[in-house]
Amino acid sequence: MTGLIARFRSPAELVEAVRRLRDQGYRRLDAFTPYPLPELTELLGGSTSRIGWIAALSALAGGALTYAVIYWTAVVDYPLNIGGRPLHSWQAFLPAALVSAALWSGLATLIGMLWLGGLPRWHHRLFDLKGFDRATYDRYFLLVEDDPAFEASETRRLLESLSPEHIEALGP
Amino acid sequence: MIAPIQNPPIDHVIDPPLAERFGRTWWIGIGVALLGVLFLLYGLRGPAFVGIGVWGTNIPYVWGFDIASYAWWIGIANGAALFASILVLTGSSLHTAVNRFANGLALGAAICAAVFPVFHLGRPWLAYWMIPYPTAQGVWPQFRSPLTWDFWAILTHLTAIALLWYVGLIPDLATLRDRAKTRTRQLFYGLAALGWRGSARQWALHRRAHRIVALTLIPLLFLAQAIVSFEFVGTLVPDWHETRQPLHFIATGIQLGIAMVLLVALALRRRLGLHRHIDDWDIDLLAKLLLANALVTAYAYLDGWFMELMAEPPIREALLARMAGPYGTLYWGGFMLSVLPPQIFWWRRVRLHWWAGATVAALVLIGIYLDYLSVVVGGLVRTNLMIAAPTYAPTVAEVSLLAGTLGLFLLMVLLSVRRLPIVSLYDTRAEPA
Repeated sequence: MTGLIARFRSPAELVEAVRRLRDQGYRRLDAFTPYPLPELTELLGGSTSRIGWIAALSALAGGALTYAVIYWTAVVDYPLNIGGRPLHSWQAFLPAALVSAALWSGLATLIGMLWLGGLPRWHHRLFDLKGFDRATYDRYFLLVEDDPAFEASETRRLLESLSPEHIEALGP
Repeated sequence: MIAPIQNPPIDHVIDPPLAERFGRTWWIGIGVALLGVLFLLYGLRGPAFVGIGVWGTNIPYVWGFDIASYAWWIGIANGAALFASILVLTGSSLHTAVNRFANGLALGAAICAAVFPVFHLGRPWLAYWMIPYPTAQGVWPQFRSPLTWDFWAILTHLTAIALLWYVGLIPDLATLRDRAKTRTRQLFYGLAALGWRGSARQWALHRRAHRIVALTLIPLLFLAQAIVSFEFVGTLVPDWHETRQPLHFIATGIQLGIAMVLLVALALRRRLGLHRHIDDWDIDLLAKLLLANALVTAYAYLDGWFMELMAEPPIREALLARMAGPYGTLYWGGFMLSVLPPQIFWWRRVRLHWWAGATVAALVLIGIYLDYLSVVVGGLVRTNLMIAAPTYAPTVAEVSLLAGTLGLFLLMVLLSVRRLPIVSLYDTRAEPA
C-alpha cells in the first residue's frame, strides 16, 4: 500500500475532497471517519447486499438443519407415541427451528460483516501513522492509494488545494 | 473556509469509562450488588447441593417463585431488546439516547433469567441433556415439549441480544481504544474493537449488519416471549391452557422492558449528568410508551375477563379462583400496579418528574411480578386432587435466588456503566443537529 493520506478537520471538507478526487479519476480512495457519513457510504461504501444474502441463506440453512435434526430424532431414530399424535407433528417442530434460523442468521451477519470488512485484525499499517488515533474521535482521513491516476507530486498538490490539516506519504 | 474546531459532543460519554475514579456512589452500588451476589450463591447452593426440596414448591404447586422470576426476567429481556431493535430500525433520536443501554439491560436480564430454568431442573449439572447430541442411551430431547423449545429460545435469545449489543458497540470500542491512556485499557478495548478503522466500507457494512441483526431479533423476541407462555399453555391446567396467554405475556413483557428502561434511564441521566444525551423529550416519549403499553395490558386483562368468564365452567372457575381465591391479592395487585400507576403519565409535568417516573416504573415492575406469580401459583390453587390444598409460600432459598439475580443484574449494569459508553458515540454524532 503506497499513497498519500490527508487529515481533515471537518466532515464537509473530507466529503468535498472525495468528490473532487473522484472527478479527477481516482478510484482507489478510502476514507476513515469517527461516525458514518451517508455521502461517503454512497461514494466509497460499495455494495452491502452480500450481507443480506449471507443473513438470509444462513437463516434458511440453520432453520432447515434444525428441522432436519428434529425430524430425524423425533420421527426416525426415537419415535414416541405422545397421545396418539402423528410422529411428524410439524407444528411442534417449528418453534425450535424458527429460533435456530434467527440464531444462525445473527451469527452469520456478524461474521459476514467482519469478513467483508477485512476484520478482525490485530494490527493495521494505518495504526502506525501518527495522529491516526483521532480517526475515531475528531479527525477525518482520506487515503489515496497508488492507482493509474496517481502521480505523487500532482496528487499532493491537488490534496493541498483542499485545505487538509496534514498530508503524509505512505511508503511501500 | 475552515469550520471552527469544536470538541466533539461525546466527551460526556467517553469520560466516565476512561476516568480513573468513579466516585463513592458507584462503589456503594458495587457493594450492594456484591451483597446481592452473595444471596445468589446462597440461593443456588440449595438446589445444587440439596435439591429443589428447599423450595416451597410441592404438589399442587409444582412451580413457584422460580418460574415467576424466570418469566419476569425474560419479559424484561424481551421487552427491552424489542424496544432496542425497533429503535435501531427506525433510527429516531430516542434511538441514540437509550438504544445502547436498553440493549445492555436486555442482555443482563436474559443472563439472570437463564439461571432459573437451569436450576429448576433439580440436577443443574445435567442441563446439557437438553442439547441434541448423540448419547450412549440413544435418547433424544423431546421436541414436542415447550420446555425444549424454551431451551432453544433462551440460547438464541442470549446470543442474539449479545450480538445486537456487540455489533453496535464495535465502533465505540475503537474510539475508547484510541482515547485510552493506559496500556491495559488500550489492550482491553483494542481486542474488543477487533481492529476497527472506521473506513467507509466498514461503516457501510456495519450499518447494514446492525439493521439486519435488529430485524432478525424482532420476530425472534415475539416468538421467545410466546414460548414462555407456551410452557403454561402446553399443560392441561385450566386458565393456563388458553390461546390468549401468549398475548398476555407479550403485552406484559414489553411493558416490563419499557419500565426497566425508563427506570435506568432516569437513574443514569441523574447520576452521570447525561441530560444532554437523554433529554426531556426522550424521557417524555418513554413515559408515553409505558402509558400506551399499560393500556394494552389493560386490554389483555379485559380480554381475559370476557373470554374466560364466558367459557365453560372449569375455565371460568379457574379464573375466579385466581381472582377470589387465597392468592387473589396477587391477581388484583398485579392488575392495579401494572395498569393504574402509568395513568398518571397523562399529565406532561408528571412524565418529566424524575421521581414520579421512577416510582411508576418500579411499581409496574413489581406489579407484573405479582401478575406472573398469580398466573403460576393462583393457577395451581385448584388441584382437582383429593387432597387438602396447602398454600404456597416462598422459602428463604427462593427469595434469596430472586434477590440474588437482582444483585447480579445491578452488578452487570454498574460494571457496564463503568467501562462502556452507555450512549452510542457514533449515533450521537451522526444525528442531524
